[in-house]
Amino acid sequence: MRLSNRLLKLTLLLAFAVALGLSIASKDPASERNVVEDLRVEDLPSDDGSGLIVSWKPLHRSKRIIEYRVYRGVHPDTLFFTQAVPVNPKTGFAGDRMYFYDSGGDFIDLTSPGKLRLEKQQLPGSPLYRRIPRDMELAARLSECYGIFSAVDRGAFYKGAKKVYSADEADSTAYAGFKFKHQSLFASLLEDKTYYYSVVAVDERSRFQPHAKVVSGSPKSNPPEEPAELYGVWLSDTKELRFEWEYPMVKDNIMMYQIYMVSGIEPEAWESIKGNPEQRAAYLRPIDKPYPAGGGALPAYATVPMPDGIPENARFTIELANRQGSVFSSLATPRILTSSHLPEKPSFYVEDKPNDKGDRLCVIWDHPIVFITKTSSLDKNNSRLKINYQLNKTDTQDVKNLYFEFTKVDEKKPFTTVKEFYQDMSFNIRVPQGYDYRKGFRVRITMDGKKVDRKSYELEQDLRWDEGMMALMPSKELWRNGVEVSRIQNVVYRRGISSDKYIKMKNNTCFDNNLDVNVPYPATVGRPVYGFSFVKGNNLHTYMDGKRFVRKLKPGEPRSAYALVSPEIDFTYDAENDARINLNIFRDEALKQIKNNKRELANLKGQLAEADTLNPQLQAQVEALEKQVKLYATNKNVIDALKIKGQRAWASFIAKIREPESRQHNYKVVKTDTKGLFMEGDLDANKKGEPNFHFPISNWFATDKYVTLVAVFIYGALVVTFVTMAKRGKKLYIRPIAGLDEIDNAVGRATEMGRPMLYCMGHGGLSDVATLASMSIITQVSRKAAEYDTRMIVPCYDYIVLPIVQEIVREAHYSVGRPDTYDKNNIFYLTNSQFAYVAAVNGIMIREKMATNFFLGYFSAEALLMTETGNTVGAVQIAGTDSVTQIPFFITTCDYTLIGEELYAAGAYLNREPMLLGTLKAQDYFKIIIVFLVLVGSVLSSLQVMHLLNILPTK
Amino acid sequence: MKKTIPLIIVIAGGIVWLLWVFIPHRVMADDFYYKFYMPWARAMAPFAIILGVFSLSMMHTAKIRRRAPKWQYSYFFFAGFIATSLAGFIGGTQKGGLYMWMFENMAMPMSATMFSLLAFYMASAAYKAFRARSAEATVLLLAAIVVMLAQVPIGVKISKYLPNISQWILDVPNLAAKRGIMLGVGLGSVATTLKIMLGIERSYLGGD
Repeated sequence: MRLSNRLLKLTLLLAFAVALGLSIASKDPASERNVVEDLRVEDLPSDDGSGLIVSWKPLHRSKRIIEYRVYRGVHPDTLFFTQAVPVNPKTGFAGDRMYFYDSGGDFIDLTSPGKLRLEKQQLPGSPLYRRIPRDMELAARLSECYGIFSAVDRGAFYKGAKKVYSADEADSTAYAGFKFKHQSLFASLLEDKTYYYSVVAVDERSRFQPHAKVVSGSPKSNPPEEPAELYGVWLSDTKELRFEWEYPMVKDNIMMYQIYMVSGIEPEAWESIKGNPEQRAAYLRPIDKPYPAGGGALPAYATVPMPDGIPENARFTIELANRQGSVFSSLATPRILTSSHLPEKPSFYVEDKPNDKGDRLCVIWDHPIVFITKTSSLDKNNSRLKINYQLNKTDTQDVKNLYFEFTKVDEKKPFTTVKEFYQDMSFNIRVPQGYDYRKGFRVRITMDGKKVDRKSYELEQDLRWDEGMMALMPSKELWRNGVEVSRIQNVVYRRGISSDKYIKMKNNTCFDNNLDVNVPYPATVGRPVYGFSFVKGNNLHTYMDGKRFVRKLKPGEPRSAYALVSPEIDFTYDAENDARINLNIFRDEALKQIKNNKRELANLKGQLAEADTLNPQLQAQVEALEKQVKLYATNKNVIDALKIKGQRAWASFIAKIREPESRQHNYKVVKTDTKGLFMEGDLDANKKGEPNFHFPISNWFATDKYVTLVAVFIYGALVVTFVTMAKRGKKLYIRPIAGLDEIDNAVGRATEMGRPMLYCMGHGGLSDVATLASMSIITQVSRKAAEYDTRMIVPCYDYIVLPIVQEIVREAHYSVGRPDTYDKNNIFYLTNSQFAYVAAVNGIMIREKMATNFFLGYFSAEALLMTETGNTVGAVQIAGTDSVTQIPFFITTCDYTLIGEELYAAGAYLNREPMLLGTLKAQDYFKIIIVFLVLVGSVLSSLQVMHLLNILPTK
Repeated sequence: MKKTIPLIIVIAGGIVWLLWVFIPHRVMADDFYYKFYMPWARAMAPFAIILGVFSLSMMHTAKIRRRAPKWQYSYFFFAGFIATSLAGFIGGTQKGGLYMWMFENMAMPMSATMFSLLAFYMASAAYKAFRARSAEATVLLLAAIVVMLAQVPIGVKISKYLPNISQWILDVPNLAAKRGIMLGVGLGSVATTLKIMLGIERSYLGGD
């Protein structure tokens, strides 16, 4: 078909008209503006005054809204985009109202716009702007209404902090200043400040609707929410009360709890008076001291000794308090039990996870746990059952064999015992003849391995018929050494090196025997922002503590804008004095401070000596300062730091000491039924009784890859041996590969027919070995094509592969002395869309009437589409791939196929270079070793000798 | 020099990646991979795509200029390229925009059309494969019949053993052959990598 110019223009015009028509047709004629209605802002109850609830009526799903964008500001004229709430445009939002909980969040980071930008598609006079821009002056102004927190990039904090002074002449403090590019700033709402909100709906065509009417609200601090439940247990033999309770959802602001005995009032009556301080006071009797909480450390259990016993019908309540007030729980009546009901004392240990970069630990409190997860019948007569089980163990726990003993419900002797020496999580059993398996079984599970044997540790489960599942399923109960433990949870707590309060990490069920703990490396250093400084004209402006200061810029002062944070950083923990030591990130400032402290101490001591009367306040001041001076003078880390010369080394040393310390933790495990029966594990301590602080270790070698490393060495040695042999002239036999032998004929055929050849490298990238192998083949093929002056078309799928292939083909033309025949337009990039590539290649094949097609590389579903088309144009086709699923298609439709590794061998085969042939030979011999290992492994595994199988890597 | 420096870079890179496999230390996992390699890889891709687009444009320009056979189709490349680029750069690539509309209503259906052709091509390929011209082809034909019948309800009606036989064919001879090929592929990959790392294989540098 040959199109005339006129016809072409007509076609293009027609296409344009169709596109225009479609575009107009697709526009919604009744596209009205959809404004969010009934927008409200309310205080978040039970919080510390930092949260607001924004709610609105969602638009109907026919409006195809894809997101609601929330805007917040401190003035009704200027609202900034805060966050988008996504909605499914097809289903819309199901409820009557949509809620957005605002407690601050992102303020300014690298993705913020460079300057103030109005929001898209808003009407003139709209108060809406995109995110808060990276403008220090604006940030400074806004900071008066927000609490600002900075997450400074770790490297920038230690190496890039700039010493900056405030514009306030009275403030001589040196602050650490950071530019926007070094930090992400976060904002928190301030109590009693007024914030303004609006919401914009965005439809799936990205059309921003007009904004909702601006509304405002102020966060208020509230008393805590009532605790969900209090549970108590009276242990009559040890005469102690044990309590457990659940905290409300918002709990970060709870500062204290206290437990009271309540007598003389019924639970129903208590509910009506517990909110009234005067009325409730008459019934309350504290049985314990108030416990200060906070900082995320909120214990949820307590033991209270009551040597005199407790009155009959005694009931208890817990008070939770914060700055704004307190609340009391409903009354709890304790269960009366004895200490024999308590769970077993947890015995646990902490170990480093092997073969990692040093950010994971494992807390282990039990031997491996094995339990049956389900069963299924294997035949119609239900005479055989497939049993699936799960084995929970750590990387270092070794289980050699598992034993499953199945017993009928009314018998004690097991009818079958299964030994699982290869733990593939399932096995089959035969149901005894004549036994109705619906009656169920009891399963006793034992194991032998490292640190565990069959005599000391056993687990038991019942298998019961489940009507719903129509199968035998494990019951909820699990017996561990005869004790039912299914209600027991293992709760893991931890504390840092400088804190004595444990923070709960996770509740684990009885089916878990360990907890993986992630201890990440710090990527940022978090600091509250004190203020902002920027230069305007020749004046330095500082916004700090809600005040603004301006002064003339001093000579040598930086003109950049900075967020100001404290340069003081927690440096180390002094265990001897139980105190944290802070150091200034600037060395000269730190030295100055230490010197000033000494001078100040001498001064105060002088004042104290001169004073005629006892001055307790001055005395206390002297003692505190003396302690601090002594701390800095005696702490080894501080002494070492003070020896350092230079700011960079100083900052690096601070990081080197403080960061590992921040990753050290002491762990604790508590076994509990969560209803008051709990038992704490002993303190994880060394022989001297000092707590052990664990931290993960970064490993230099992956010990699970020893075998792989040995295999690499053996293979490398074989390669070197055969390459040396080949270099010395030893003839290496390589079996003939028909597909490669035919390349000459295929190129010759194209030459004789005067038609081009197609070389397709598949859709692999440069990281695919098949593509690299294909490159070595194209070197030879293009050389032949250049020799015979046959055109070779190479459509590339990957744009990184393109320049390399162009270079290979160009080199081939030059090497055979035909640079004039090289046309780089024959090697071109097509597309990296799989089926668009197929369409294009097929088109080329048909239009150019290919004589020969090469399909060598990595292929997927497109393989058959291309080779079948090649077949129809009558081309000779040589294909090769390492993609197992495509090999059958190539075999079916191509004349010659290189299967799997033959593709990799092709370069060496065609080149006949001794070095390359050597590697090919080494590959063959290594394969013999593998086949030998497979055979030996099969025999040994059949004989239940698993050593060989266990040392070989599984992935 | 033109080849020596790239060769040194490749060999050094190969050794570092080999070490990366065996060394889980933070230096390799974070400092090398996330802080060094990933930014470089991300930075390199845009340059390569410019090269690809430039190559395709050059090829089509040459076709139009030389009035090569079917040169008129090259205009469609430019029309599509310009229209899609403008739609993306001006209107954005988000859902609801013209770019996504073109992708969902033009590119996707065309891709699906090509993919749907596969079913017919498979039937044609199956016909070629199942012609019982030799003993091997006859075995293939029989295995295919069993496996295909076992996939449909009538298979169980014919014989209750058919699904089991089919599963056995898939799990034993089929899997054995597949694993054999995969073993070879695995070893071949290692061999190719080793050849590149040792500087024996240099075709990717252009020429030998």
